[in-house]
Amino acid sequence: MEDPWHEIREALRCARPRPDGERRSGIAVDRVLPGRYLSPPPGSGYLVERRLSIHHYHGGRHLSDALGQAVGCLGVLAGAPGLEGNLLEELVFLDTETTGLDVGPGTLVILVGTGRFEAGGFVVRQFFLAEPAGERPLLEELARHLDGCAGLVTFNGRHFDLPQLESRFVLNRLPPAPSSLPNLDLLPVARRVWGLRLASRSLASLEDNVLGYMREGDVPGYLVPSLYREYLRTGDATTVAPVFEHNLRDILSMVMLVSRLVDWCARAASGDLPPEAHPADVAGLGRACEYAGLAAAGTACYEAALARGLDGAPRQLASERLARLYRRLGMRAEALAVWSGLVASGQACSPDPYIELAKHYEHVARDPVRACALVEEAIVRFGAGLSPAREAALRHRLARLRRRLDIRTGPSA
Amino acid sequence: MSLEQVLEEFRSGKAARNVTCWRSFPGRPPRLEPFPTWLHPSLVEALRRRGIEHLYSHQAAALQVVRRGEHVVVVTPTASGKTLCYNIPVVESVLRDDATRSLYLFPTKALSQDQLAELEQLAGETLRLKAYTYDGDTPQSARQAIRTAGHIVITNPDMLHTGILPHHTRWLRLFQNLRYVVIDEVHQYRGVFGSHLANVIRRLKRVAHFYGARPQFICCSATIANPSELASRLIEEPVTLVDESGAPSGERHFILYNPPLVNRELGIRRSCLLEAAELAGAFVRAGVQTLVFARSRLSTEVLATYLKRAAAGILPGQGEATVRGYRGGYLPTQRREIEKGLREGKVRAAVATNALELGIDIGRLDAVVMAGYPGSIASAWQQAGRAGRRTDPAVAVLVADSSPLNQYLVNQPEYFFGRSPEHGLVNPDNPFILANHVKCAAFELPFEEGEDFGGTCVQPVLEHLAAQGIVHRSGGRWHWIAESYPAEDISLRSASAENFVVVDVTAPRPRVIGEVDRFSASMLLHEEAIYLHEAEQYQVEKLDYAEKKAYVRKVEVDYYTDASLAVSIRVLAQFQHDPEHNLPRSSGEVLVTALPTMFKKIRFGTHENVGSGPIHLPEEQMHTTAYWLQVPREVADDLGPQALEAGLLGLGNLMVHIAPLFLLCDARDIRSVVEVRSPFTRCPTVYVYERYPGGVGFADKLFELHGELLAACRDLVRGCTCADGCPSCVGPGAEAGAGAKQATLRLLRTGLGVLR
Repeated sequence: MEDPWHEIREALRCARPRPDGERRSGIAVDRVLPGRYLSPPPGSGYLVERRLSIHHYHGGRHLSDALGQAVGCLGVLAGAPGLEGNLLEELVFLDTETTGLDVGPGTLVILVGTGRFEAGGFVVRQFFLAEPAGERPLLEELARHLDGCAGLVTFNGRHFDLPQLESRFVLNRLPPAPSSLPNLDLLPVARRVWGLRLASRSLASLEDNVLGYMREGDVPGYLVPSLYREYLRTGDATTVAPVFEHNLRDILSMVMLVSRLVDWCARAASGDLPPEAHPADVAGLGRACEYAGLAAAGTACYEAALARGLDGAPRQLASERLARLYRRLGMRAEALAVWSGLVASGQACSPDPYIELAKHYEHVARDPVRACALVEEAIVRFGAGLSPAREAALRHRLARLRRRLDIRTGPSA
Repeated sequence: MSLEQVLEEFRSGKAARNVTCWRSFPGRPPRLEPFPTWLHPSLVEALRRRGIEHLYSHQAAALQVVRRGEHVVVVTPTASGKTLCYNIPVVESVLRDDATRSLYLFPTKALSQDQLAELEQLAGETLRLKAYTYDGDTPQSARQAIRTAGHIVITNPDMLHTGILPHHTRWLRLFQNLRYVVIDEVHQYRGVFGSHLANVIRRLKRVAHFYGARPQFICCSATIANPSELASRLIEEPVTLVDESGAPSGERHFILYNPPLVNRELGIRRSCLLEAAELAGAFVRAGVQTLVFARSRLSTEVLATYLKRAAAGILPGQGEATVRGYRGGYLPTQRREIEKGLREGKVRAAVATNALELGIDIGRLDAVVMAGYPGSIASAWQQAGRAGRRTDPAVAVLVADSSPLNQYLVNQPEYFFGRSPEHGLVNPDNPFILANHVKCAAFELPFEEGEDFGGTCVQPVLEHLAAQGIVHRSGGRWHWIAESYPAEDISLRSASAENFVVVDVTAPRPRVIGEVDRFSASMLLHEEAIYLHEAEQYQVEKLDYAEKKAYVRKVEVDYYTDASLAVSIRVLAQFQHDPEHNLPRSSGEVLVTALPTMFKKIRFGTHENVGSGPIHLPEEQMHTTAYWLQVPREVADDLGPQALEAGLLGLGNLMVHIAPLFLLCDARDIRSVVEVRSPFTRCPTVYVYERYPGGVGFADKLFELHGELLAACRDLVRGCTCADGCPSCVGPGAEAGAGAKQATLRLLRTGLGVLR
C-alpha cells in the first residue's frame, strides 16, 4: 500500500524551508519571444506584442475583410444587442489559456491573448504569466489595455474565459474589468449555425470545416496545463512557445469567424447567402435567427436552405420549423402546404405536422374524419417515442375527436 | 390511566426486579429573563408574535456572550430552545445591517430543512430575511441568487467543503460580510469527521480573512464530557461555555432495565427487543404517548408490529394510524406526516431508529423506551430527552442488551448519571487529513511563505506538494498549478483517499450508498458481510477488489457480521511511555498488518454466534496510532502460558468494548491485538489501535485514561455473573480460552494495584 504518511511526517519534523527564489537554469521567456516584462523578474508578467499586416491571410479571408463591418444583427443572435451599432474594429478579440477547465480559484490564467485593429494593422498582445507571482501587474496591464474598448469577442467567453478572469481579478483584489464589458460570444451562435452539419463545434472543427484552414504543428489545448507546469519546473520557455502560437491562431480564427458570421447575418433577411454556405448551414442560420426572435430572417434562411437542396433529416427539421414560423407570421396557406407535403411524403420527424393539419381539418375545413385519421396516424408513428405527457395529450385529442364523430354519426353508428 | 399509575404498577410488578436503577428528577420551574433592552424592536415583536415573551436564562446568557464578541458553545438538554441562542443574534445582525451574512452548518439535510422552516416562521411576513438551504438538492437556477442575496445560508460540512469554499470568488458577498458561523450538533463532529471539519473550518477562516471578515462562532452541543474543549478544537479559538438550562421541566424518571438471565453459565439474557416491546406495550395500552428507539430497521419493524397489536382494540384507529414506524428510508413527506401526528398527539406511539435522534421537531412525549444502548451516553440523553413536557411527568427506560458496554452501564449507574465521561476527540493534524486539506486550501488561496494552517506549520507539506508538481513557489507564495480539483476527491467521512464504494443493486438502477476506507473494506465488505446504512441492512454479494467496489443488496436478517483478522503489529515510534505502572503503558505510531481469515454471524440482542464463513482477501497494511500495555515477566510467569494468553485476549476484548464509554466512538473504531511476547516491549502486550490511518486521538486519550479504563473493565468483569467469560464481559469462554475471566481479572487487579 502506498502511504504518504511517513514522508509527510518526516517532512513535518524537519521543517526547514528552502531559500526563496530558487532559480532554474532554463531559457527565460525574453530569450524565446521578444517582449517586455510587466514588472521586474523574477515573479513577473510578460507581454508579447505582434503586429500583423492588414492583408494577413487566414482561414480563407484577409484580416482587412473585417474592416468596416458592423456587428449588426449578429449582436442580437449572440445575446449582446448593445453591440449592434459597433464596427468590428472597435472590439477586442480575447482568448485565454489556463491550467485547468474548472472555473475556480485554483485555476491559473497563464496567457491572455487580445487582438484589435490598430492604425492600419492588427495587433495581438499576449499577456503571459511568466511567474505566478506576476499576476497582479499582468491583470492591471490587461485592465488598462481593455479600458475604453466597446466590447469583447470571445469563443465560449461567457462560461469560460470571463469567469476565469473574474476569479483572478477578485483574488488579486482588483475590480474585474473584463466582466463589465459587453461580450459577443461566438460559441452559442456557432452551435446553432453549424450544428446541423458538424458533430463538433469546437473552434478547431470550425476552422477545418468552415474556414477551410488546417492547423499544422499546433499544440492541442489539453496539453497546455502540463506544458506550463513543465515550464515552471525547468524555467525553459521554449516549452511554452507553442502555446503562444496556439493562442494567436485562436484569435485570428475568431476574427475570420466573426467576419463570416456578420456577413451571413446581414444577408439572412434576404436569404441571399454566399454560394460557399452549405444548405445545412443556411438552415442553421435560420435556426439562430429564429431563437433570437428574428422570424422574418429565419423564414428567409429556411426557404433558401430548402431551395438549395437541403436533404435528409435537416430538411425535415427545417421544413417543420419553417411551417411553424409561417404560422406565427400569419402565413396560414404556406404553413399548410409544408405540413401537407411532410405528411404526404411520410417525412415528418415529429407528430407536429399531423397535429397542425388535424387542427386545420377539425376547426377550419370541418372534416373531423380526416382530423381523426391524422391523429391516429401520428400515434401509430410517434406514440412510442414521445414523453408520457405528450402522448397523453395526443390520446386526449383523439378521444375528443372520436366523441365528436360519435355525436355526429349518432350512437347507432 | 395516567403515567404515574403505570409507573406505580410497574414498581410493584414482577418486572421491577430487573430494574437496576430508577432515578427520579424533580420538576423544575423556568428561569426567565426579560428581552435585553438592546434587542431590535422588530425582532422583539416577531418573538412576541410567536408567543415568546421572555428568554430562558441560558438564552439570555448566550446572547450576552455573543454580544461581548466571544465564541460560544451552548450545552442544554433537548428541546430547551437552543435555536434561539443563534437565531436571535443572527436575525438581529441582519436587521441592523442588511449586508450582513451568516452561515449555518448542520450535519444532515433534514435538519437544514427544519431550521429553514423555523427561521421562516420567526421572520414571518414582516422581517425582510432571506434564508436558503444550499446543498446537493439546490437547483442550479437558484444558486446564483443564494450566493449573492442570501442573508443566511444553511448548509452542511460536505457542501461547504466541495461546493462553497473551492468557489469562494463567486461567494464574494457571503465572505466579505460573514458575521456569524453557526455549528449545531457539535458533538457529532468527532473522530474522523470532526478532524476533517476542523480543517474545513481552518479553510473557511482563511478564506473569510482574505475578504476581511472574522466571523464569530456560535456552537451548540449535546451533553458530553468536554463540549468547550471539542468546540474550541474545531474552531481553534477560545470558546465560552453556556450550560445552565433555564428551561422548565416536569418530573422525570429514568429507568435502567436489564433483561433477566436465561442461562447464567453462558451469560445469555432474554432478548432486549422483547423486553422493550413488553414495556412499551404497557405504556401504549395505558394511553401514554410513547416513542421507542431501536437500533436497526428490522427491530423497528418488529417492535412496530408488536405495538400495533398491543394497541389494537384499545386505541382508536385499530393501531394502524396510531402506531407508526419512523426510520431512514421513509419518504420525506411520510416523515413530515408522522412528525406532525406526533406533535398533535394523533400518533400515540412511534418506533424510530436514530434517524429521529437529531433535533427533528416532534413535540414532547410522555415515555421513551430504548431497545439497547444507543452507543453513547450523549445519544441516550438526547433520545431520553424526547420524553418530558414542561409540567407533566415523563419517563425514559433504557433496556440493555448483552454486550459488555450495555451490561456495564446498567450495572454502574453512576457512570450514566454522573458527569458525562465521554470525550469528543478530534485530531486536525492527522497527517492524511491535514495534507488533504492543505491541498484544498492551496487551491483556494496561495499559501504565503511561512503561513501556518490553524497554527500548524505546513511549509514542509507544501514542499512535498511542490516536488510532485502540484504547487509552485513563486514570489514568496505557493500557487496551485495542478489541473485537478482536490476537494472533489476528498471525503469528509474517511481518512484516506483510497476508498471502496458501496453500490446498492437492490433496485434496477444501482446506486452508490457509501464509502469505506481501504483498510476496513476487508472487514466490512467481504462477501456475505452485512453492511449497515441508515439502519438498513445490506448483504455484500460481490466484492470487486481491483475496482474497489462492493455490490450489496437489501436484506432483513437478525444478525450482524464480524470479521476475524490475523493481525500483526509493529511499533514504529513510541510517543509516550510510563514504566511507573504495574502494567506499563505506552502510546505511539504503529504499522498494522491484517489478514482477514473468517467472519462470524452474531445475533442482535443476545450476541450469540449463529454462523461463520471464510474470507479470501489479501492482507492490508495501515499506519496508525496505538495504545498498549505490557505485562511484566513475573506476572506472566505466575499466570502460566495458557492463562496468560486467555487473559490477554480477554483484556483486549474488554478494553475495546469499554473504551467507547470514554471516547465517543464506535466499538468498531478501535481494535485490539495481543502478543504473548512483543518484539518491541519484550513482554506480553495488549495493543489497542485506531482503525483509521493516522489516528484521530483515541490512542493518546486511552493512554491518559489508563487507570479509569482498567477500573471500568474490572468493575464490569467483577459484576458479571457468568462462570468463565460470556459475550457480556471478556467474551464467550470458548473463544478467549478456559480461565479467561479469572486471568483477565488477575491482570486488571495487577494493573490497578499499588504502584511498584
